[in-house]
Amino acid sequence: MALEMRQGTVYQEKSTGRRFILVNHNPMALLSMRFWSESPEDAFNLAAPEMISIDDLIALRQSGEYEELGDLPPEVFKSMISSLVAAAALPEEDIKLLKSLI
Amino acid sequence: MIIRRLHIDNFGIFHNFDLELTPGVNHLAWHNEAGKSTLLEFIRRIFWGFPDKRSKLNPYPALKGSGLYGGFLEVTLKDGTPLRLERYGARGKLKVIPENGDAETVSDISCYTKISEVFYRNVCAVTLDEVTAFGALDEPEIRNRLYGNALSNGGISLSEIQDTLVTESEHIFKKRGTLHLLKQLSSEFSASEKRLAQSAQAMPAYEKAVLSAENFEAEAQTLQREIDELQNRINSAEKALNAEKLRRKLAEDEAQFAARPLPAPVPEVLPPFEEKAPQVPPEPENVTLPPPPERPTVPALEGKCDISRAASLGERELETWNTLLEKGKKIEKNLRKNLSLILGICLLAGVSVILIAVLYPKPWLLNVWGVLILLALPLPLLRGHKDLLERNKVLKAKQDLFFRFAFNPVLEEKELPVLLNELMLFQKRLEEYEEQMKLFEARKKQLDNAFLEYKTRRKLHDEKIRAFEERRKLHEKKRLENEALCRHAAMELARYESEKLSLSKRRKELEQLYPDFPQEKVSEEEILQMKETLRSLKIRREEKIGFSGAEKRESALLLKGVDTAVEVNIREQLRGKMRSAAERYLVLAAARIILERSVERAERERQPELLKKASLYMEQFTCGACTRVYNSAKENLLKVATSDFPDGKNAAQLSRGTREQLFLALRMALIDSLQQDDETLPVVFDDIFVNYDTNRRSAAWQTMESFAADKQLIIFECK
Repeated sequence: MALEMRQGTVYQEKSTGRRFILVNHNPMALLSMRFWSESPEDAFNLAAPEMISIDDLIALRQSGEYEELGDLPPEVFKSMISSLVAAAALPEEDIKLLKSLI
Repeated sequence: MIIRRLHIDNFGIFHNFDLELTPGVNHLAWHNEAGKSTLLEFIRRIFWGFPDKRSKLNPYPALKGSGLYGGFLEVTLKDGTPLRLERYGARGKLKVIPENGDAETVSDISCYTKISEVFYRNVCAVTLDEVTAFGALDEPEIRNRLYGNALSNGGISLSEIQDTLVTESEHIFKKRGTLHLLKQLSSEFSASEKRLAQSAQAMPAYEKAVLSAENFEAEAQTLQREIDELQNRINSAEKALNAEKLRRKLAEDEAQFAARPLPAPVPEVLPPFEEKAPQVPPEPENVTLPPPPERPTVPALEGKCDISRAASLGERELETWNTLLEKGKKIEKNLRKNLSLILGICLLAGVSVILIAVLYPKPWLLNVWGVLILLALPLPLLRGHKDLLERNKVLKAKQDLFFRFAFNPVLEEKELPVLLNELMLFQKRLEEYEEQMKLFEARKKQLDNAFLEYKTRRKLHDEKIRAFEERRKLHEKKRLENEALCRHAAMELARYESEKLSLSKRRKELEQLYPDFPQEKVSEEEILQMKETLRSLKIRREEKIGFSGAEKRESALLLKGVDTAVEVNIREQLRGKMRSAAERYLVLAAARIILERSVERAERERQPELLKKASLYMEQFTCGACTRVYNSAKENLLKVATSDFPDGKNAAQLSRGTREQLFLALRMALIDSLQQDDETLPVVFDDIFVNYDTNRRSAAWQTMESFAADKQLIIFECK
C-alpha cells in the first residue's frame, strides 16, 4: 500500500468541538503545522501556526479524543497556503516548504 | 610384571634401601616398624604417583636421610622385557628406562596394563585393614566385576520388587483387611444401589413434579420469546425514533448551512511594489572657479611728487581740506563748552555738599548719599567730553594725512617721465586686469548658470522621489490590506469547508448507523406503552421460572437429591473400577508368584563365574567349612553358605577371620578374572593372616602357592 501524504485534514476535538487543520509541511523532519479554530463558528487562526511532531500526531490519533472530519478541497487548501505564505509570519525555511505545497 | 629389584630413597624409614624379589610367592616376615606397609605404599606410589602436599594421604616423610624422595623398580614384563621404573618427588613423572633404549616419561603405569589404580589399590595391593573394609569392594568398577553377571539389577533388590508387588496387591485386596480398594468400592457400590432403590419408590410423584416444572419452563420460554420479540420491536422503534431525531437535526443544520452566504473567494495576492526609484541627476563637472585676477597696485607716489604739483590740486581737495578744518574748529568749541559746564557742576556740587554738611550734619549717611549723587551728575558730561576728544584726535590724523599726501609732494621734474612710464604700465596692467576680470566674470556666470541648472534638476528629482515614496507607501498599505483580506477569506473558506466536511461526515455516519431506515413510525407514547407491556411480561416470566424452580426443588426432595441417571452412571463406573481393580490384583499376584519362583531358581543355578571361583578359594581357606559364595537376589546381598547354614550368612553374620577370608577370596577371584593376555602387576598382601587359625593359615598358604603360580605375590607378615 503506497504511502499517502494527506493535506488539509480537519480534526475536531470531541469534548470541546474545537477544530484544527493539519498541514504536513515538513515530512523530512517529521514536523507538521496545525491551525486552530476555537469553535466551529470561529475561523481558523492562520496567524498562529502550531508545530506538531509526528509522535504527537500519532498519540493524538490514537487517543480517540479527536474525530477526523476529512480533507479540505485542494483548491481551498492551496488558497489557504497562499495566504499563509503571503502573510510571512513564519521562518524562511517553513515558507519555502509551504510554497512547495502550492 | 615381575619386580626383580627395588630401590628406595628417603621414603619413610627407608634410605638407600635395596631389595631383591623373585617370581611366585615372596614371603617377607619382618618385625613391627620394619616398614612393611611403607614398602607396600612405595610400590603403589611408584606405579601410580606420589601424592602432592595438598593430599590428605600419609606423605611418608624421610626419617633417616634427606633429599628427594622416590626410588625405582627393576621389573620384567610378561614378554620378558626388562625395564626400570623410576619416580622421584611429588610431581615426578614415571620414568620408564628400558635396558637398551631411550628413557620414556609417562604419568603412571596404565600405559602398560589395563589394571586401574582403583582396582590395584583395592584388590591387588591391600593391607589387613583394607581387606576387611567392605567399601573397598564397593567401587563401581569392582562392583561391576563382582555382580555384573549376577541376578541383581544394579542397586535395586528383587526383594524390593517383591515388596512393591505385595504392597500394591494388598492395596487392592487383603484378606480380612478393611481399608483395601475393593472393600471401599464395594461399599460405594452398595450405597449407590440403595439410593437407586429409594428413588424408584418416589418416582411417580417425582415424575409429576418434573412434568409440572417442565410445563412452567415451557411457559417461561414462550414468555421469553414474546419478551424478545417485544424488545426487538422496542429497540427498532427507539432506533427509528433516534434516527429520525438525528436526521431532523442534521437536516436543520444542513439547511442552516445552505442558508449561509458562500464565503468570498480568496482575492488575488497583490504583487510586491516593483517600480524602480528615479535616478539621481549627475552633478555638473568642472565646477571649480579659478581664483579672481589680482588688481594691479597703484605705484607709490610719496617722495616722487613736486610741491608744484599741489598747485594743480583741484578744488575738490581744497574743499575737503576746508571741511576738515571746519570740523576741527567745531569740535574744539564743543570741547571748551563742555569743560566749562563740567567745572560749573562740580563747583555747584562742592558748595552744595558744604552747605548740607553744615546745615544738616545728621543723618550723616543721607548726606553722604546726597554728596555722591551730586558728584555723579557731571559723569555723562565727562563721557561726552571723552568722545569729543577721540573724534578730535581722528580728525587731526585725517588732516595730517591729507596734508601729507595733498600738500607735501616731493617729486622732482626728472622723475616725471619715470612716473609717467609707471603710470602707463599701471594703465596697461589695469587694462589686462580688466580683460581677465571680464573672463573671470564670464566663467563665473557660466558656472553659476550650470549650478543653477543642476539645482533645478535636483529639485525636480527630489520631487520625483517624494512622489515615488508616496506611491510605494500606498502600495504597501494596499498590499497589507490585501493580505489581511486574503487571510481572512482563506480562514473563512477553511471554516466553511470544515463545516461542510463535518456535515458530510455526520450524514455518512447516520447512513452507516441506520442503513435500513425503519419505515414503521412509532411515537414515544407507543414505545412507553410497549415498555410497560415488556415489564409485565418479564414479571410473568419470572413467576413461571419461580414455579418451575419450586417444582424442581420438590422433585429433588422426593428423590432425596438422587438423580437417577447420574446415580446409574455412578454405579456403573463403580462396577467398572471394581472389575479393573480385581484384574490388576490378579496380575500382581501372578507376578509375585512367578518372581519368587524365578529368584529361587536363579540363586540356585545362575551364579557368576567369579563367585564360583571365590567359592572355591573360600572352600580352600575354610578347609571345606564354607561351601558356596553367592549373591542373594532377594536381598541383593553377598552370602556365604556353610555346612551349618545352607541358606547362607551375610558378611555381617560371619566371624572376623571368616569375613577376611571371604573378601580375600573375592579379591583373588577378581585378580584371576583379569584377562590372561593382559600385563598383570605384582600382588601385595600385607599381614592378612593375623586372624586365621592354624589350620586355615596353612590352608591359606597352600592356596597362595597355587594362586601365585602365574604371577608374583609378595606377602608381608610380622616376625
